[in-house]
Amino acid sequence: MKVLIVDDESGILKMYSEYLSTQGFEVLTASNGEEGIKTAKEKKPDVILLDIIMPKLNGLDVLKNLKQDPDLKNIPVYLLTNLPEECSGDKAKELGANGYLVKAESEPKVIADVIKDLNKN
Amino acid sequence: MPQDPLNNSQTYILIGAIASFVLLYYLVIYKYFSKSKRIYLKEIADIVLIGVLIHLLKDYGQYFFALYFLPIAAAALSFEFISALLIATIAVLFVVFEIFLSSYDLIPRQQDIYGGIWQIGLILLITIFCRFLAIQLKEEKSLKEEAIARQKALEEETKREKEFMSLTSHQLYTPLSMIRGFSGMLNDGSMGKLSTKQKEAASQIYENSKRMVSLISELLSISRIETGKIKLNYRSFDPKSLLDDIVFNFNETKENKKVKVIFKIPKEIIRIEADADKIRQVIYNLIDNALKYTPEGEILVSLTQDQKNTVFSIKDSGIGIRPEDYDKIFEPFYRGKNILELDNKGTGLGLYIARLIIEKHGGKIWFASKENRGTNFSFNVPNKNNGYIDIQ
Repeated sequence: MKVLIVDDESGILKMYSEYLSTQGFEVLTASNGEEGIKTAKEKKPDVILLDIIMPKLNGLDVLKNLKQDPDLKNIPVYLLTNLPEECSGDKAKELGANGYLVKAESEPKVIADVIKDLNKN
Repeated sequence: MPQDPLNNSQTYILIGAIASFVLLYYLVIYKYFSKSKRIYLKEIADIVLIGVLIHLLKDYGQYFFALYFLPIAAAALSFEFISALLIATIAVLFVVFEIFLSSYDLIPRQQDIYGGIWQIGLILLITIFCRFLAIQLKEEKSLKEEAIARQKALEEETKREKEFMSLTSHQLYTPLSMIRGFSGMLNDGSMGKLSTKQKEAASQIYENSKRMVSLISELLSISRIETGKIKLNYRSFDPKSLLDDIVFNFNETKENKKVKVIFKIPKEIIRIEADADKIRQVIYNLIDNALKYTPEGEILVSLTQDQKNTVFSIKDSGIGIRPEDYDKIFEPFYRGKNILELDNKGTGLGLYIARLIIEKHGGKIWFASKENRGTNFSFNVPNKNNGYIDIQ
C-alpha cells in the first residue's frame, strides 16, 4: 500500500515515513504542495497525508486540485497538520477530505492505525 | 406696477461693482485658500449674491426672500454647524442692513421694520429646523456607522485572534509533535533496541511531551472560551448515546481495571440541544478525574431530566475533596494537596475548562464530597427549546 506524505518539515516526513515503512507501507514524500500534486499524478498513491501550511501551494489548495482531477479524486486524503481543527476543519471537510488529524496528537502509530482501518473498510 | 430697478443707472453701477467684487472674491478664495477654509468663504459669497438678487427682485414680490432659505438649508443640512451659523448670521445682517438703509431713504424701496423682523424670524426658524433635521440624520448615520464599525472591528479581532491561535498552536505543536513522535518510536522499540537506561530516558521524554501537548491544548481551549471567540456548535443529540459511547471507551481503554465505570439513566430520554463535542469533553474530564482519584470501586455516571434541564452526574468512591479546597477547585491551575500526592502530572485546568464550557451553555457545575468517601460532580444543561422536545 502506497502512502504519500506531503509536508515541508523534513523532521515530520522522516518521522512518519520511518514508522510507516516499519509497518510495511511503501512511503512516498513531497516537501511542498506542487511537488505533492506531481508525485500523486505520477505514482497514484493509495492514501495521501497532507500538511496545510506549506510553501508554493498550501494543503487546502492541493486538496482542491486533487479532488478536481478525475484520476486522483478517489484517493483518500487526510489533512495532517498542526492547525487546530476549528481553523481549517470545515474547509477541509467541504473540499472532500477524509479526515483531519492534528500532528501533535497523532503519533506515527495513530496514523498507521488510521491507514490500516481505511484499508479494512 | 413695480418699478424696474434696472432703470436706475446707479443700480447698474452697483450691480456691476458687486458682480466684479464677487468674481474677484471667488478668484481669490479659489487661488489662495485651502479647501477647508474655502468652503466658508464661498458660502459668504453665495449668500451675498443671493442677498443682492433678492434685493433686485423685491419689486416682483416679497416671495423671492425665500431664496435665502436655499443656502441656509444646504449649509445646515451639510452637517456643518459653523456654516449654518455663518450663513444665517449674514442673511440676518442683510435684512437688518436693508431696514437700516431704507429707514434713511438710502435705497429706493422702503423696508417695513415689521416685515424685516418677520423675515429674520423666518431665517432663524429655517436654520433651527434644518439644524435639527441634520442632527437627527447625523445621529442615525453615526449610529449606523458605529454599528458597521463595531461589526468590522469584531470581525477583525476574531480574524486576528484566529490567526494568533493558528500560529501559536502551529509553532508550539510542530517541534513538540516531532519530540513526541520520535521519543514514542524510541520508547516502543520501533527504532531499535535500547538499553534500560536509554529506554527510561526515552520514556520520560515521551510522557512529558504528551503532557506538554495536553497543556497547550488546554491553554488554547481556555483562551478561546475566555475571549468569547469560541462559538458553541448547538445541535440536537441523544445524551444516552453520548454517555454510552464515553463509558464504553473508558471501560475499553482504562488502565485501572479495579474500577468499573457504570451508568444509570432513565428509560425515557429527551434529546437535548447543546454542543455535543464540548459536553463530551466535560464528561470525559470528570470521568478521567474520578478514575485518577479512585483506587478501587466504581464510578457511576447518571443523568436526570425535567422539561427545563438535563443534569449529568459523575459519582466516584475516591479520595474526595478536602473542605479547604472547596472554593478553589474550579479555578485555573489549582490542585488539591491530597490530589498532588496521588498524581502530579495533571495541569489543574480540566475542571476550570469544564466550568467555562458549562457556563457558556448557561448551566452550572457543582459537587458534593466527603474526604476518603468520594465525590459527586454534577452539571446542568438548560434545554434550549423549553420543553418542546421530541421524545425518543
